[in-house]
Amino acid sequence: MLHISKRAGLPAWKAWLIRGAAILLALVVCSVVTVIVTKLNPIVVFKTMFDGTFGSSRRVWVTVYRIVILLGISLAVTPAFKMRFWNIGAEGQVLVGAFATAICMFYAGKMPFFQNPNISIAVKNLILIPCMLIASLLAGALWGFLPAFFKSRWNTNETLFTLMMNYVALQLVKFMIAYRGFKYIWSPNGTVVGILNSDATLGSYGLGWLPEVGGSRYLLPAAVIGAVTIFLYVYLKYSKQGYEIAVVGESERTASYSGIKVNRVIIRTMVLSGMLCGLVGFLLAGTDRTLTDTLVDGRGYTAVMVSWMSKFNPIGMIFSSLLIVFMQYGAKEVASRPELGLNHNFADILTGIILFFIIGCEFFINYQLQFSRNKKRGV
Amino acid sequence: MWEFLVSFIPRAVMQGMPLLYGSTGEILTEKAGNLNLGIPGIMYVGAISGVIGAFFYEQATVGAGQPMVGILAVLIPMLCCLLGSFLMGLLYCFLTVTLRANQNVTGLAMTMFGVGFGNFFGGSLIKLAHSEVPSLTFASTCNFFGDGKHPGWLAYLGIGIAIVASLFLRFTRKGMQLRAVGENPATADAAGINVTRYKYVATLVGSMIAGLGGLYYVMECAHGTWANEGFGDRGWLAIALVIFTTWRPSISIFASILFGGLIILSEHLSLPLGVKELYKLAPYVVTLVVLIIVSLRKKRENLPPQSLGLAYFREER
Repeated sequence: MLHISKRAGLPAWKAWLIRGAAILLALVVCSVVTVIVTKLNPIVVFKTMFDGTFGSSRRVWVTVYRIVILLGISLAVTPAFKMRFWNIGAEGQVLVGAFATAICMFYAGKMPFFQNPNISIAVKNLILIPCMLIASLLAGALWGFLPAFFKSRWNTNETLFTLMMNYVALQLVKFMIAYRGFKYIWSPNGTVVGILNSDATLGSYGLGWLPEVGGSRYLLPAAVIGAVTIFLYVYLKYSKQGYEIAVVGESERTASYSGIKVNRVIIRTMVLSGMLCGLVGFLLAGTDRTLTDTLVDGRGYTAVMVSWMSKFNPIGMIFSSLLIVFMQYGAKEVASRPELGLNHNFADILTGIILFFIIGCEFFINYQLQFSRNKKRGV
Repeated sequence: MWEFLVSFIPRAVMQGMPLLYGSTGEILTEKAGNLNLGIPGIMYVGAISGVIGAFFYEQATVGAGQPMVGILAVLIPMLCCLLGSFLMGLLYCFLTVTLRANQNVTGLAMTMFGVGFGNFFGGSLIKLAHSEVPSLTFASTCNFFGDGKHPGWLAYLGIGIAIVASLFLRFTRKGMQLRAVGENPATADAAGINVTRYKYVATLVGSMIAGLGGLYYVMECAHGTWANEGFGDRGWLAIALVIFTTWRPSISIFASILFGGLIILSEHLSLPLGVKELYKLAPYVVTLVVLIIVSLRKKRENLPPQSLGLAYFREER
């Protein structure tokens, strides 16, 4: 009847062809769903989505920024995934990174040195921004280290551990935003942080804001994440540590027989993952110049899917991030037009459909179906 | 003190029940080796499906000036809810069991889809009803579920399901075979157990139970009110509860009421704004501690099912 067997290996171009076909099919299904639910012409909807994401130069920049952040988080989770360490804690790791940055910006703004109007802001930022960066990296690294430590010592389930750590981070940030009893109060009403160091009359104005390069504040994050992409590509593909990650991922036993210290690799890789997440958090808080509990906005989870659907290939992740950002924020644009009458949650439905198709199509890449003529034998 | 308890305990139970439904469903699923991170999404879909059923039935009767039939007012939302969560479970099973996709990724995608689905159709219904506030109320329907002050029959059903699930897993042949599938599918397969069928049935039943949790939340906790995002992160709390109870539905009955009590307490106590958020941290930290202690002690019956999160393919040994 029907027999399933594992493929020996599919040429890369064929695999990408299957994925491309799956995405096309998903877009068709999305259009059909859009028509059924909204009775709108899908071409109008897709055109609105395109307008919303690439319609003006400002929108292009915002879209690039969103792609860059999603790409950054996806890159950050990749080393751990390659090791088959199911870290779904990127959400929390990015958030604590952003939190560390925001705390540095906030408290520095209260220090006499940084308030001194006689020292130029460039000098102050030259001191402060590296501190913010280090704080974020350390915070992210801590959030990555804890699950790895318990996993390597006592085989604690890392998926559940990192999931809980997300909420620990989220509640900590909510607490720090809302709590008034601190020495300094974030803002008069105590529930939102607002733009940090934004009082133009003070010497601390603009303190800790990431510099605008080339007339846009989104260029610097793009450059940083671009560098991370290249670094990670080389690290995973050509470095000894990258090779160790791949071996541990294939088989922990093989790794330990061949003299790789598995526990050390697990901890080192997770600390790296966490630090990269912290870096993204630094870029997020430094570019947005504020801290909210929705700063990461579920992108830590989306990144897990982006990383996985690109088969941990950094170049593939650029395109996957583009697709996801286009669908999510394009659909939000559609939702914001009252004449189309949708709400923004439609974006999640469309993204979900695309993800299901991409998840499903992996089967046809990894396995092949054989129809045997002899029906009596069966399987 | 007595009066406080009398008003407190029923409300704690009501807050706990959605978590109990969710965790019982997730325990069944995980015992078959499927780590279904789509539970939050499934609970959303279950809730909104029930809401859609209740909405149209209420429009057809109350809207047209006719009396509601009690049995229909209960059955229609319930069947819609079961159907919606069944379909979500089917999607999860098809992707992870038949197509052997990665369970974490599938689950996260399902949660994204489910939450979006719930809020989208919730928003559409609110628009359809020309409601002035961003929520929907089912004043007539929810009276058939309970009075909103005490846990109604659906709560007792939830406790019943948890007890049955507990007994099923522990004492019946099928339950033991199910656990075998979750621990080591290859061995179970060799012993003649149909791994695929067990995974499918456990996940589908688990999804439907979790979906009922969503319906319970709308009909009793929120007393027949649907508001977008109202369900919050209860789905993740349900998953935390699974670990907290070390995969035992019977303990989950008490643990869910404890969690529910924590939720209610945070509303009762007049804490400063920020401290409340710190207080909400407690369930997650406690769960983390339990997860760590369990892995330290390495008692087999407390550990997660061994093949949790792994797809099974017979020819891959």
